[in-house]
Amino acid sequence: MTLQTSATAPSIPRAVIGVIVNNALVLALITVFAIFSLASPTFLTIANLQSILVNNFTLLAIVAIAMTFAVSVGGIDLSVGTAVDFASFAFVSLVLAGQPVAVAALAGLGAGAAVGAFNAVLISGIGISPFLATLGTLFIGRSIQQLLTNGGNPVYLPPSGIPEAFRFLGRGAIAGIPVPLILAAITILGATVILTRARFGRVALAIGIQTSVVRYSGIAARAHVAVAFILAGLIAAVAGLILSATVTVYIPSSGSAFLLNAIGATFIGTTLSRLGRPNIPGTVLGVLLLGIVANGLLLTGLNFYWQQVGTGLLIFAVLALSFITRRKASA
Amino acid sequence: MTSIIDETAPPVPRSANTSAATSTWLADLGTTLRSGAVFILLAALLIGFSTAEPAFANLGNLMSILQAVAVVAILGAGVTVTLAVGGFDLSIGAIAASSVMAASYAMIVWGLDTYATVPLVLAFGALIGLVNAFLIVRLKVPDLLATLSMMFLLSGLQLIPTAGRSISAGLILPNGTTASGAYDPAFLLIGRASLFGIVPVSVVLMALVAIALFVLTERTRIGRLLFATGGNEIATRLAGASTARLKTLAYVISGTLAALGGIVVAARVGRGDVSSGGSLLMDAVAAALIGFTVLGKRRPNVLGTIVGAVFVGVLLNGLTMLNAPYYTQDFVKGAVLVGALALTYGTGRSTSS
Repeated sequence: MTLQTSATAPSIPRAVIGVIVNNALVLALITVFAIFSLASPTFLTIANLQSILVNNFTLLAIVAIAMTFAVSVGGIDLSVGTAVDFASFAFVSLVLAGQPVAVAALAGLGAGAAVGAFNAVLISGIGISPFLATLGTLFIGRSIQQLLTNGGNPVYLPPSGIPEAFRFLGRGAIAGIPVPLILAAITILGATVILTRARFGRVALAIGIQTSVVRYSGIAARAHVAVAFILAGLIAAVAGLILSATVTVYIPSSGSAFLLNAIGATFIGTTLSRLGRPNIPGTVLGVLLLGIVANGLLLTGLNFYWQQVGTGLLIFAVLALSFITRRKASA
Repeated sequence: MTSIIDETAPPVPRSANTSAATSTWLADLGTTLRSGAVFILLAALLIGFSTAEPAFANLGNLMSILQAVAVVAILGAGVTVTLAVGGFDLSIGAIAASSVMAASYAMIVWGLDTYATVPLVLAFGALIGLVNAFLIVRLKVPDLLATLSMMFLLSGLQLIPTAGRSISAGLILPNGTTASGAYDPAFLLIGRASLFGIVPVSVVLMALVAIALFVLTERTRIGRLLFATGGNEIATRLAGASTARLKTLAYVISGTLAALGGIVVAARVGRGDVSSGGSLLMDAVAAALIGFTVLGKRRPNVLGTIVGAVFVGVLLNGLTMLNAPYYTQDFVKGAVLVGALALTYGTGRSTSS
């Protein structure tokens, strides 16, 4: 009898902790959501929730997915912002030069992929570690943009010369859903399929866990790493197209604003996921979490710099929570 | 967590078992060239710039180059130590920027003098380093993530005491009162004075930091254990060393040096500018990475970091003198970084990815 109670008693809290560990990210999201709903009357309105999705979610989600590909092969891409900028520059410049929007958009995607390919050469070709290689790309990319724009002048599209398709990409809507949001959804779905259903995704994640095993199994690990970085550049380019179509201007080095939040979202998703490895749903929830915090802090009337403090504290809190619950669960 | 430095890259000495004596000789020459590449390039740059622009070679300009790189070199030395234990500190730029604000706040709002401000700010940096270490060592948070959130936190927190304003004498505080203090003239000497009228104090500080950390990392048992921790943490722990303490030491050194860098910036600028310290992180990291190639070490080393910082400083100063636009600077930094990395990792590696 006493034996039985001592055996079953700890299993109930353990089950509770298990639930918390397995759903830490969703629980964190619900908590933050509830706090802001109580703190600000305007937070829980349709208009504000839409604004979170459009302003705080779409672009960062796409860039963070690009980052997730680089992290999935055990790397990191500090130049995602560079790919955003190069795509934006090519897109806006070609539209300004009178090229069809479709051609300009393809060129933009190509420019982003080229940044990824440059990283791929440094990482898979020469063998430089991803962090260092993409740091170099970040520096060089920033300077190339300044050279192209005479020291950093924005490239504006005149209000009269904006093609309809360009405007549609940034501000349009299909059945009431903003086009950027639809593109983000397509990116999320596509990335999920590639990482979880395709052979490439399985190999990529295996490389992230143990490169040598993959190589000894006769799989070309380097080629897969290269593809992951080119994909990262290509996906970031999608964000670049949407960004420039929304604001109808290219501002040099504006993409680097996404970098730290993209890293934050990806690692929140990785750390708090059940499997502890990079995954698209985790990244997307991480972006939502960051977006809700940024929006909520703004609504509660705090200064903009509290947003940064909030983001930092949030990442701390989430990580500490994850660590404590994990240790209890395994104890 | 991904490791920043690919530890699988072994230093591959060119083996001397080829039969032909000439090829060994060539291989030796190749090794020598590679390990001395940065010095040879540096010499070439100095000669090239001096011939193109005679004003480049005068002592005043050379000292101004050193003064310009002093802060980056001091922060870079800290980066070197965290790289040595296999970690990474993304918060150094933010620590330096907060230290600029903290030093200004201490003097202008609290009216402290130099002898109270400097220890206070250094203690602040050490404390942040300790918090980083706690997160990384005790809570097992991945190093990039812990220091990244610290960076966010600091860059927001530093603005709060003054509600986002820069700090200079006569600052109006958020509660409406005017700050009464001012920058201590003795404090400004740290950034502006020169020893014997030739060597700037900041360059002296850089040299002291370089010597102290060189001795610590290359000549003491602790230094060897720091590198051992970065090489194989578990083996080091099993060998009886406290890797937790070693990593804590590394982050505390990194935080303190970042604060010292901030003090030098504050003393040079003479006010608490909210935007200072923006590019310090990337520049310091770049200097530390360029340092890998110096003397063919292929690992973080303090001497290399200082040489790396000076190398970039010479290049930028020379280009500026030759009227290159300011925006070529990042390109040069990036190209040097990639070149140095290709030199470190590209040659002598057969299998990798």
